[in-house]
Order: sequence, then C-alpha cells, then structure tokens
Amino acid sequence: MTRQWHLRFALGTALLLGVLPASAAAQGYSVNEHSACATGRAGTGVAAPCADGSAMVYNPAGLSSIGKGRTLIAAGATFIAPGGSFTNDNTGLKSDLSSKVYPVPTVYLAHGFSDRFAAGIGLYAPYGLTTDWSPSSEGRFIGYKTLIRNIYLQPTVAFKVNRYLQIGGGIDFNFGHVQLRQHLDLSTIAVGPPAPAGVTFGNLGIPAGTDFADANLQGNGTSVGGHFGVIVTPVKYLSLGIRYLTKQTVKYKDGTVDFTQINTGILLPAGNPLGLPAGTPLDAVIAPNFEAGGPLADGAASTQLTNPEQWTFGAAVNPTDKLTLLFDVSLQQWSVFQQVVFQFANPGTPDVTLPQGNKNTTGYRFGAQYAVTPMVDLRIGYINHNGALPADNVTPNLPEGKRAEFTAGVGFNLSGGLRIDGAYQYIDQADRRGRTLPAGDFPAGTSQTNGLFNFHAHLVSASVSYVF
Amino acid sequence: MKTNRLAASLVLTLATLMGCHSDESLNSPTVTDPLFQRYVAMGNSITAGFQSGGINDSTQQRSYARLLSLGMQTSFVYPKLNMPGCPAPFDVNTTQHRVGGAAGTDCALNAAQPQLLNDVAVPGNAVGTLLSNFGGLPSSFDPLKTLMAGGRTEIELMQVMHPTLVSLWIGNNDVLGAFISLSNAGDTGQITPLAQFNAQYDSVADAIDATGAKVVAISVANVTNIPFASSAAIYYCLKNGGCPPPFPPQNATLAAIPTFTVNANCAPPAGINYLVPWPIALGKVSAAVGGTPSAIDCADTISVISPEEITAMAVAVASYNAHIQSVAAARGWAYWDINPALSALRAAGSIPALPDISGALSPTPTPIGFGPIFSQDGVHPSSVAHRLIADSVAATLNAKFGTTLPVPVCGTASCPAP
Repeated sequence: MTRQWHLRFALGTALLLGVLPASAAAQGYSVNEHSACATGRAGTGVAAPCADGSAMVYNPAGLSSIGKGRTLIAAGATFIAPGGSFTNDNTGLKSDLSSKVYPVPTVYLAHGFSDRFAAGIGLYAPYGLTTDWSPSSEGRFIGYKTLIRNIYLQPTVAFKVNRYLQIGGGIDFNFGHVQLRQHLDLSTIAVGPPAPAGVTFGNLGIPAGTDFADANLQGNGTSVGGHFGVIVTPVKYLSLGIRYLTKQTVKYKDGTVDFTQINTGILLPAGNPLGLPAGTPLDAVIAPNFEAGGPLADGAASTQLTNPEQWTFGAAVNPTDKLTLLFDVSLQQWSVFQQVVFQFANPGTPDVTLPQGNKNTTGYRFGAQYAVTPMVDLRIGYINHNGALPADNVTPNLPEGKRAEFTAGVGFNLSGGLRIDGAYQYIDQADRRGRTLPAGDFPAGTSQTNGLFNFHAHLVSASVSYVF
Repeated sequence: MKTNRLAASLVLTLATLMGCHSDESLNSPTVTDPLFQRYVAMGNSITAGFQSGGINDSTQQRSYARLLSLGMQTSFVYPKLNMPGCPAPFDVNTTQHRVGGAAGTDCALNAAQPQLLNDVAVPGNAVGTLLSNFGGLPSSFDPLKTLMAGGRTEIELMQVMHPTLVSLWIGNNDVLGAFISLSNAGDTGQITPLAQFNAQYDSVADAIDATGAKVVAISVANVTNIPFASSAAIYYCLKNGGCPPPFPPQNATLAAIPTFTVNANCAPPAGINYLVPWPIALGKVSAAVGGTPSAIDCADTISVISPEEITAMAVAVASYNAHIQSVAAARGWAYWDINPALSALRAAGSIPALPDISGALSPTPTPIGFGPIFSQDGVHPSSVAHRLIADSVAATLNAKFGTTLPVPVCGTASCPAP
C-alpha cells in the first residue's frame, strides 16, 4: 500500500511540476467556465469530469457515469467582472473598461438509460466576449463595444465500453450573435469632390479624434459542429482523457449597420478651405452622408467568424482516496481567425477589415480536489496561457494576452441527490502592448502599437445540480 | 502528515507559478519631470512656428515650443503642414518669392497626424480668438483656423489633451495689427480695448486652470521694438544726408533716385518719433525707381506711424502685461517678460534700427535683412530667436517649478539647426 501511495504521489507531482510550459500560448476569446465545480479546479476535467452534467462540455464521454435510471438536472452561472484599461504611450492618458458584470449561464439535462449508456442535452457558451469601454474612450474608433456570443445547444450521448474505456459525443447547434460599436473619426474621411482624390478632412485641419458618426453593426447566425471525447482508466487511481470540439464558421448574413450622426459642433471659420461662409455648421455639410443613398445610410451588413477547433488532453490521479490531482492541456487552433471583414450592402459604404493574425494557442490547467468529508469537497487550481493575438492586433475589441489564473472552490454533496458548488477565479493578465489606432496609421517599420492594455477579472461561479 | 506535505508542495508550486508571466511595458517618453507629461503650447503665429511670412513643417519644428518639448523629452505633436507650406515662407522677401515658388495663397495642406495636438497655436490669434473663432478682425491668417485647428478653438484643443503644463503666449496680435497695418499704418482702432483684453484673458486663464495644469505665461512683446518699422528720420538721413551720428550718412543709391523723396518733416529730431513700415518704404522706393514720384511724408498718417500711435501701442502693451503679470501672480503661474531681452537685443544692434535694404536696390534683388533675431517678414522671430526664447522659458520654468530643463535647451537636446 505504501509503495502504491508513493507511485501515486510521484505521478501527481510530475503532473504538477514536470510539464510546466516553457512558453505557454493562448486562448483567444474561448470561455472555459461552464461549471462551478470545474471552475474551482481550474477548468480541468477532461480525464475526470465533475458529476454535475458539465461532462457534456469538459468531456462528453464522462456522461456515461451517470448511472442507470438516474436523471440529472443542473443549472449554473459564472459572473464575470472584468477590469482593465488602456494607457497611451505618449500622453499617459488612460481609458478604463466599463465596470459591469457579465453572466455566463449553463444548463444541463441528462439521463442514464443503462449502466453503460447515457444521453443528455447541454446549453453552454464556449466562445464569447464582451468588451465595453466608454464611448469617449481612446479606442472608440476601433471599437468601444464588442460582443460575440455563441450559445451551443449540444445533444450528447455517452457509452461506457468497459471499465477501462468511455466514449461520448454530441452535435453542437450554435446560435451566434455579434455586435461591434465604434465611432468614426472625421479626420480620416475623404472630403470628396471637388477636393482632389485622397484629401481627407484631416488634411483640411480637422483634428484626429473628431467623432462624427456612431456605427452599430450587429447580426445573428447559426452553425453546426461536433464534440467528441474519450476517457481511459488504466488503473483505478489514474484516468486519461481527450476531447475534440470541431471548428465552426458562423455566417452572419442578415446583419445590419446603423449609422447615427454625432454633432461635431464645429462652425467653419472665415477663409475655410471648403469655401463656405464663416459660421457654416460643419455638421450640416456632413449630414447628407447619412441620408438614403449616402455612404453612411443604414443598411444590411454581413460578416463571418470562425470558432477554432479545440483539442484537450488531460490526466487525473488520486494520490490518496480523498485527493484528486488534475492536469489538462488545451490546444486551440486560433490560426483560423486571421481577420474579420464586415461587408455592406450599400455600395457606397466601404468594407471594414479588422486584421487579427492569430496564432494557435496552448493552455495549461492544474487542478486539485480534496474531499474533506464525504459531503464537502475543496478545490484549487491554476491556469497559464498566452495570448493568441500578436501585439500589432491587440485592440480594444479584444485586449487579450497571456494570463495566469487562480481558482478556488467548494462543493457540497447534500442529501437526496442535491449538489451545490461555488467557485472563485481571478484572472491576472500580463500587461499587453496594443493599439487604439487603425493598423495603417503607424509608420512602416515601427512598432504598430501606441500603448499598454491592462486587464484582470474576478469570476464567481455557482451551480446547482439534482440527481434523481 | 503526508497530506500536509502534499498541501505544502501545492502551495509552493502555485507560488512559483504566479511568476510565470511577465508584463510588457509602456513606451512612454522619458520626460525629465512629470510636469512635462502633457505639454500644451497655446499662442499665435510665434508659438505655431510662423517665419518669413509663411509656415511649414520646417519652421514648425523650430518653434520655441517644440524646442522646449525636446528639452522636456516629451511627446510633442504639432499640426504638421506639408511642404512647401501654408503659405510657404519667403525665400526672397523683396520679390515676395516663396519656398518652392508657391504663391502666397497656396496651401499644401495638413499632414493629418492621428494624434492629439500639443501645439494648438494658430497664427493670427488674439486673446479673444482663443475662446471663439468668430468676432475677431478679418485676417490673412483666417484659413489657418481651419487648416491647423479644424475649426476648434485653442481652448477646446487644449482641454482634450488634459495638459499637465501649458505655455500661454497671447496678446501680441491684440496690438500688432495696428503696427503692421499697411492700409493705415499705426491704426489704433485695431488695438483691443484694455477692459476687453483683461476679461478675455481672465476667461482663458479660468479655462486653463480648470484643467489643473501648471502654466507659464509670456508677456506681450513691445511691438515697436521689432524691425518691421523703422524711424522715418533714418530714411531722411539716408536720402538727404547731413545728419549727425548716430544717424547714418547719405546712401548713394537712394540719393540717386530723383523721384524718391523724404520730406523735411521727417528730419531728426522730430522724425525720430515717426515709424515707417518696411513694406511701405520699399513700395515707395520701388515706385520711384519705376519712375513714379514717391515720398515718405511724416504728415501722411496712412503711411507713417505717428508718435501718438506709438504711444498708444506702448501703453496698450504695458497695460496688457500688467494684467498678465497680476494674473500669473494670483494663480501661481510662472511668468516671463520678453521685453527686457528684446530691448537689450535692440540696444546691442542684433535688431537693426533699419533693415538692410541694399538687397532690394540691387539689380538682382536679394532679401532685406532684419538681423539674426527676426525672419524675413520683419515681424516673426527667426530660428535663432526661437532658441533664445526657449532658453528663457526653460529658465523661468526651472525657477518657478523646480524643474531641471537644460539651459540652453539645445545645448543638450537634439534640436534642428537654426
């Protein structure tokens, strides 16, 4: 027994220390908080999912353990409270993220049809983001509100082949929504005839940062993908897992763009280069652009976004009967996400391309769960990953970067099949250079960044599950 | 025991992991003092970098405000005007020939940089036009209110920057218009009434103080000290001769132009107190050379600035400066009076009593010279003068706020050649 314990301990320590990344890589806008139980142990669980239905997310194969004739209903939410800022290199002026709390709900329903076969349906959001800055923030011309919401509805089946092997899979129906709000800077807009081609209002002296329009692009789209998993349990105290979530390209075909004029309040002085009488409101000169047929008339818009495929590998080991150590590696192919192009039905409205240039990413998650009593579990965890975006494309829309994340949680197995879990997670993102200007506004051969993004977040998760 | 050891291992591991990512850093300018984080320069053509009747990126780079920013080692964005300028500066003032052969009405437009402006000065601005682009007297500088500031006021542009330091040099144009008027030399109707000046200056001061910025104010220059206009007595002596030192002897070239005369009412000592703007004098000489009889007449109040008008301007400057100094004292601003330096330069001959007009009389005209301190328009400081101004303002800031700007500024900072 002692010898076996040493083996378990050595294995657990190796999982925690021996596989640390020399250079961890990244996670884009993926979301990994779908269960308070899993969140408490850093989102690990591909080799040993929590028994709260979240196996449908962390490894569909794990759903086969539910047991014959048993039904599980679970619901939960993670409340994300981000904080962050952008500080301009030259001016030192700082713009802050809005202080808001964003809920990410989950719902799971499952039933064990035999000791070996179970099925269920889950609702979760594996990809999404909301960045919400003040409309007066420095990066407003790139975007002051970005929302990507992908809600996956996943019917799932799982089968326990034998005591060593579990398999599972599901079909993901994705209901997507995307929104981008930004202001338009008059200094960057072409004056048009009779001014020579290429002459902008900035060339006529309009200062950079002159807001004259608010653009609101949004759309809905659907897509379908798959989710598969395998769990192998070679010995009682060790299990290994793997899951694969397929890539999905969501086409937002029926989107809209609404332009609202923002008054600059500028009255043209005498001798202005437009040749207009002194005192002429510049806003009146611009207004026809917003009318039907103008380049800033409201209209239809479309775009598409690709959610990358995910591979997660993991192991879970029990050094003691009460302690479980878990380690997951998550590979996400963000290289599929190279740019976002917004196209407009109005031929007078130029397409908008947001370069991304993402790289594939890897995240490392370490978790531990300790059964203090049969009714109480304590959990801790640590996550490390880098940013998918190169610094040149880190913008207010997604100011992401490499992160260290710390988690803790507690679970209560109450009588009658009721289970309550809670967790806290702190995201400490390394300060990341980025830009609040369009990519083309920097001199060639120089850093394409103009400041530093700071980001952190507090997350609180709670979930309730009931098995009967 | 085993559990304790494992827990300790976990804690140690997590503590180690906390250091697994490193922050990137801000690429801020290495300002020599936090006061210089966001420096905004307000003013008129001098602060904007106007020289020799024009302005372009080259002259803008040489403004005292930009030189100061180099000493501060801070970021400094000015509304860069493409070459050859808007308008291009003279390269030969006697022929009005401008850099690149551009016309005086040509404008090569703004380079449209995607950054907030630090130099918000607009040529032609008086104290009132810092607050509103309307209500001032019509000016040839008016197009620059759009082309350099986009129709915003200097106050508006300053507020956007949330400045930590503001330099404010305004008021010269509240009196200069009278001095440089070519339609009515010495037109005192163009002097801003003192009460109006004071009220507008106070409004400007309130707006700046509301930002929390420290401020250095610069006095209004005594416009009668600039070489744009010269004593009529000098012209008399050059034409007619017979004057005792320090007046110049007769100039053979002028004496040989029979159609050019300088009336006896301009002879010293009475003529000393009349001033003749150089474009008017040159115009008369040119007309005479062309065969049209032309005279400088000290009774011609349209062409000559009278002693009464000079006095009115001097009184206005002194009154403005008394108010500026009191505002600075009351608000804890730094204050630099340019006039002692200007007078010293004049006394030392660096500002000539009479411009060197020999170039204008040459068959192949060359520029009229105003000495090393003034550019070819006889009104705006030269690049050399901008360095001197920067040095004095730097010394004033150091004395008032305990900063350590290098003096001379360009002794340490990498300034463009004057």
